[in-house]
Amino acid sequence: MEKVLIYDQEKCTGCRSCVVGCSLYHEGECSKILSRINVVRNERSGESFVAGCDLCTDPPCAAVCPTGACALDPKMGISKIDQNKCIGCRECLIHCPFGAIGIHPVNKKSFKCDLCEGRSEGPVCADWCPSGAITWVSPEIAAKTKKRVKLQERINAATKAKEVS
Amino acid sequence: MYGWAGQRLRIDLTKGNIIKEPLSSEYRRKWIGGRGFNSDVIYNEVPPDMDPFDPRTRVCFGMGPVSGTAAPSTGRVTVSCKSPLTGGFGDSSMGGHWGAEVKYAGYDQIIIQGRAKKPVYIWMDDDKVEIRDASHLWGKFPRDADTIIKQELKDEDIHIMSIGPAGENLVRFACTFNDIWRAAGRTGHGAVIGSKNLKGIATRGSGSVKIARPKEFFAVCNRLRQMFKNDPMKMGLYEYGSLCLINFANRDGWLPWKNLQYGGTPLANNMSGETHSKTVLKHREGCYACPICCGRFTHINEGKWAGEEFGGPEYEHAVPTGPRVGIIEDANDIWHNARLTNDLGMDGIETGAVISAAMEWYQRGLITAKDTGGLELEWGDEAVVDQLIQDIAYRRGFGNILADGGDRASDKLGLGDKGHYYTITTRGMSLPGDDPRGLGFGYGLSFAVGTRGGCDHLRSLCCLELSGALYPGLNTKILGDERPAKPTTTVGKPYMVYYEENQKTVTDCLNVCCFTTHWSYAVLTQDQLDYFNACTGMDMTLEEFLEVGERVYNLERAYWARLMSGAREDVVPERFTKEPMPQHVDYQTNVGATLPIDEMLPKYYKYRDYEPGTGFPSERTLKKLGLDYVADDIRPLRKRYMSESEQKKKKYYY
Repeated sequence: MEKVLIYDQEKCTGCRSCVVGCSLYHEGECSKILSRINVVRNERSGESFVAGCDLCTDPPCAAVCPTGACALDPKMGISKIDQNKCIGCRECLIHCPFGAIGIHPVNKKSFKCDLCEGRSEGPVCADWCPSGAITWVSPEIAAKTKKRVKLQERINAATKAKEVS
Repeated sequence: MYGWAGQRLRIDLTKGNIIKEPLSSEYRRKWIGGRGFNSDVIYNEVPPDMDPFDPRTRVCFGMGPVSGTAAPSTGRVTVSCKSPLTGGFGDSSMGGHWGAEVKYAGYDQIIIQGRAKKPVYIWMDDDKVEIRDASHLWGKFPRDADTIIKQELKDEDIHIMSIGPAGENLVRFACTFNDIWRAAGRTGHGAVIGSKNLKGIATRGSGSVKIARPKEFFAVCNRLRQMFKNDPMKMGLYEYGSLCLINFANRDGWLPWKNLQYGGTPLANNMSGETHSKTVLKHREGCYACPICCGRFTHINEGKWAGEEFGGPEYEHAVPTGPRVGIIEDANDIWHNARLTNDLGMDGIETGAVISAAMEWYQRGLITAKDTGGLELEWGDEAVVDQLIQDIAYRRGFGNILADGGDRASDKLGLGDKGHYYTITTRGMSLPGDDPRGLGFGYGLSFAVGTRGGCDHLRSLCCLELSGALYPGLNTKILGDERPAKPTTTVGKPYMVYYEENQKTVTDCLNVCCFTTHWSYAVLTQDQLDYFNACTGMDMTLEEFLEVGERVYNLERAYWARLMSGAREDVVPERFTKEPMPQHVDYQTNVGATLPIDEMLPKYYKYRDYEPGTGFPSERTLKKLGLDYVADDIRPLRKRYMSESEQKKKKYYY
């Protein structure tokens, strides 16, 4: 089974280990804006959200790309941006529903997640995530796990209600 | 330039000047960064006799060479100044994301000097720096100031350092926050920032930290992060936060109950991390690039304080305004008090400590309701604690007296030696919520000798002592002896404290989190050196690396020497030596223990090479560390320190 990245926003601690790891792995520098994945924090309410490529099977970024630079790689199951063809129009940035497209500060072209192509341990973001908010799993297993989690939540709620009454 | 940004920002609020100063390669190698840079500036630019609130005094914010990188936990900032609480050298460190942001904006250090005519805040947008009006922010809680600044600058993603009302009101233990909740708690620089009419610093950084050997650096960081995945220390801290210590502390008799009269309470589990996670935990939080994520976000669900929420608490933040003042039955009271000290911008440790000292004065009959403006300071009375916290922050009534710290308050009330007996301070700062009769004799020793007074658990942070028993062989690997792993022994402790002080100093110079050091096998000093070298391209040896720690430490000690503070001030509160630990919990393990400080001090002095009489750093060590100018400074002071008139003086603060 092909693996995908699954983001569980409830678990994100906002530590940005994924961000800094991604930037270092791809660019050899540590930065927030050079990262393919980003974290949005709301300090006041204590909430954090991770914004990375959701590996759409019908990716809007590819659909709106006027030059064909952004296209789905069927083997990897992710859309990729050919830097030679990209004209820096930022259409993909506007249409990605998850805010997963970045603009490179030097060449001003779009860049995005490539699943750390070739890394045997899988993408750095999932590998380094300390809270399990980002996981690298097959979608079938992720779906099964989610069902079990949801069922357990209902059982817990019912048990608690019984205890209270 | 790799690792460092290579420049520091100096802002003179009197003149409105903004100066960028380059940092030479030799300078960076000598001090590494963070606490090292800060201590150097404080030593050179803030004379020992200067009033801590003098406009000419400095507040420094230091970042390290690996700040903002992928090394474990790199968002920390060291804040240093001449402490208004102790009058001596003061620094404190905070987590969060602001430190990394400042690095990305292109600075290794920020120095604030002068005093603005009216309240201001600083807006650093990469290399554009401006001073802006903050009249509308004055009096606001950090969380509200943060929201308003973000709206004003039209960017929700910036990171902001700010102070609370206590800092504005010059409470001598006010602290500094970033990202609203992450506090650099100790030594009271919040008040110094307040005295400069500075509310905060908002930062946006869009640069990057360049890495000398990226592949090697990635490999080291990756190795360490894999280690953390299965690390029991990490799992405990992630699951329950630092409150995971509560039940251990209670068992081993170092959870302060009623101003450290006892080492625990039968109801401690009410506030344990396990209970907290089940009842009021809303989210887990992580500082920048942290593989542990011990931060909490609390939402109180029921009772009087229902609906309150805040970032935190940590062990040291929750304990002082909880069990230390006799509150344990309803943990929501403890969370509420922690929320209060956060919003008002005060050090939770010192706030709880001064209130508990006052409660003990009241218990012993040293003060009565007449002195307190009618307040009856009974242990565990939440209404009194709640009111006192607010009165301290706004300097009202009896709170105004306590707002100057325990020892100053004791003198103001004319309580004499008895008053000081119950303040549990060293060099004017209160000890944190750790009783060394149970936590360990190494901690006890470092409370006596630490270079920021009262010296807190972080100065030497004897993690080898605290978690030694959990990790067999760890002490042998680092100290060459397994016996020091036992907390209540003096064997090996002088060397442990010496080693840990140097190690933690260099950790503060890198500005990474102490939790990512050798609490377990996850990150040893050699690992820190590996990522430092790969990041900066320097090729330091382990000896040179630790020597930087020793250099900074001795410089700070020399600062105290210039204040006439040395061997006579290397004492612990008498409670620890005179009162054997009473039993208060059935399963307590340290009943009857006292702290044998005199057994350890002479040996520690030998490792440090302090002079036996004065306790000043020796000329030999200072010269070895390249601090000849410091040796010149303190040479004429020895005779004065040993003079009869000095010997007669009892000094609690400076």
